[in-house]
Amino acid sequence: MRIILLKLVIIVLFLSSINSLYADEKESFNIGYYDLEKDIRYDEWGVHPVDIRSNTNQLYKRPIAGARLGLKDIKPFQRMAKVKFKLMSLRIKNIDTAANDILNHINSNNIKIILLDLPVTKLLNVVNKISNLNIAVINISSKNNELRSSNCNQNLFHTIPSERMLSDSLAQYLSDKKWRKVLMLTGPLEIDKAKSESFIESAKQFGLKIIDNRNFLLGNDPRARDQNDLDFLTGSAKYDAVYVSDTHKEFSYRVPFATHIPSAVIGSSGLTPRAWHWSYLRHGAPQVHGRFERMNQRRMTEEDWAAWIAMRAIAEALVRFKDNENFSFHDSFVSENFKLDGSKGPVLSFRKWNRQLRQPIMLSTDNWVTSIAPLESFVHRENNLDTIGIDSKTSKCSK
Amino acid sequence: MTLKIIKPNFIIIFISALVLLISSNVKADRVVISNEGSDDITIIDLNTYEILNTIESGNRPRDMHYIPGTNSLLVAASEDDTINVIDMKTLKIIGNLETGDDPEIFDISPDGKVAVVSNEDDNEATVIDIKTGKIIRVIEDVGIEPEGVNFTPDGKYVFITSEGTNTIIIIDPWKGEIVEEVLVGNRPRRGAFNKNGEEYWVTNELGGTVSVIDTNTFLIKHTINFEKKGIRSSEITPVDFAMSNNGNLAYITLGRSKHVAVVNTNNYEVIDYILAGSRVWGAAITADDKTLIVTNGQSDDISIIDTDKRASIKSIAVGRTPHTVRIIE
Repeated sequence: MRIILLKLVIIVLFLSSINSLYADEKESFNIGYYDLEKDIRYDEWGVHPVDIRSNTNQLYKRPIAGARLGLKDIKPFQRMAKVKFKLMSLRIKNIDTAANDILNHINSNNIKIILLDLPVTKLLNVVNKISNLNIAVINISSKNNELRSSNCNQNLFHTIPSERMLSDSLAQYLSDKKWRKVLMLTGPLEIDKAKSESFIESAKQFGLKIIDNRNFLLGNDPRARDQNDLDFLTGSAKYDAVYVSDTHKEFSYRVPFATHIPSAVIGSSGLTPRAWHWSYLRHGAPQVHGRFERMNQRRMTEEDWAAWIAMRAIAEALVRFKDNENFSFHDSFVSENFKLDGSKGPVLSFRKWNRQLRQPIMLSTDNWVTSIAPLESFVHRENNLDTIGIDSKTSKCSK
Repeated sequence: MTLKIIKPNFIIIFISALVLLISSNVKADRVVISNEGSDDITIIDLNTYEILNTIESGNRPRDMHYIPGTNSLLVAASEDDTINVIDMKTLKIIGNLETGDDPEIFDISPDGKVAVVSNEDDNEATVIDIKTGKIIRVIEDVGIEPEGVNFTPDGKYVFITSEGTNTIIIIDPWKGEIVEEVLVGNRPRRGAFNKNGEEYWVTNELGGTVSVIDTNTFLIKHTINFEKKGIRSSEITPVDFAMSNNGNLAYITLGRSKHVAVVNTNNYEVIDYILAGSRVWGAAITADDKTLIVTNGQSDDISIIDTDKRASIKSIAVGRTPHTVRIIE
């Protein structure tokens, strides 16, 4: 009896040692994800005014959903990468301590690479604070042009397109259609003004004519009707298109079919440039947003896509380059051989000069992708995707 | 007197023999095309290139395989989650196979008894008994968005291309196990074995290359690159194969570039590029290797290519978004 028991113990011990062997085989690879509890971009408006009366959970709109789908999608890469992916997130409560909180989280959790969903000012704080760690940072939501043209950091990569990529896409479309005369309506926020400035640059590059740039205000005050009444705002001018920059969207939703003369509406409503739209049907996109919707019970936004593709970029770099001597994400991402599949058609890669992911932009209405930029008639000497966005010659980042 | 009797008989026999010959030709030599946009199958006479019939299939018909023994055509109807069994004599759907979700590409075992299909949305492969139409087993975790499916010529294993994982996953469909996984280029779409079965060729749509895998060692032994003046590398998006029956050539459709590459299978050299239509995807070749037929997904037509001249000799408008072409001889 004793002998049998002993044998049993030995067998159990042996089996458990096998188990632990298998468990230890793949080391854990920790990916950090950081966002803010209070973030104006996820407050109130943004999807549709009716949302404020619905039960939609505001936090639920956050692009961490895209990162979670990304984690699920890169799990099959584990067999090849020989690591176990883990997504470790932290929602920061106090903006003032954000950079320190993130630094501590990285250090105490052995985090290898991070995704940031932060507005531009906070983002730079964090990137500067952790720059000694030499850890790659992927920006998944800030479209700020300066981050790609002057205010750069060697550790900072972007999977979300810049404002300039989006405005260039619109300008290409208008130019292609020969709708060259544009009236601009600009909102009151700093970010609205930045969007409009980006569009003015794009208009210059693609030969559009800005008829006028008018500021709008949301409200019904009859004394300010030149700024809140669409007939006044879009009157006494001749144009082919009206461009609206309105981050909150409450105003811009009213513009299509309400202009003084018949006109296309572009920008924050009407034809909107986006990194991703759920209505796209080609290049395997329906499979991606199908997986996203089944997982999250909502449509996939462009920020979701940017977080998803960031996760894929991490897996792709590990699978292809992990065995290289002196492996680093910094070098792998900008390597000639780094090719990423974003289910948008062409192969995607990072621009060497500002570490921006080059990618097609979907020009879409609320339920259809009307066109994809770059448009066929715009050709670049090296990569047609570089006809949109800040090119190597204008970016000061590589210098 | 006797002559008068024999003569008409002789003519009748001759004519009826001729009619038989022609009609059997019409029945036997056909081209079938699945149109995923218009949910139908176009049937074309291989000799006259006339459209004989357009028959309704299930929704979103994609891959097809012909089974000579039962004279039936199996058609994956992706949106209906089934494979239609179409009787090629009556041109009616006479049955359906269980497939699991969203079947796109499938293959038939060499003995004709079993089908294996990729379920793109579920990351699974499903093994189906063709006779009963029932699922035998489901193999999970075959990578993200599995697409291409090929039985090894000996019927032992199935090679599956995983678009989202950039790998080829080799499964044992009889045991339901994953045997091996091979990293290839970006977005592997379809595969094909060479004639002796010692190589598995894979199109990497986004990588713009073809990986040649040694089926004994499961290692990549060669990567084929495509270059043509006037075509940007980003437009070279290889998708489907037609391997010549003599084993010497591979015809590879290059999607967005509108061309079909001709590759020497003995030394992997690209010999030529043949102009076809917009987004050229599906491909099939006749038994005598003289005619190649490709589907052009974005121009709703097919191109008939003379392989001696290496040029398109005819294009035929078919249904919307033609996907797969098969030749029944």
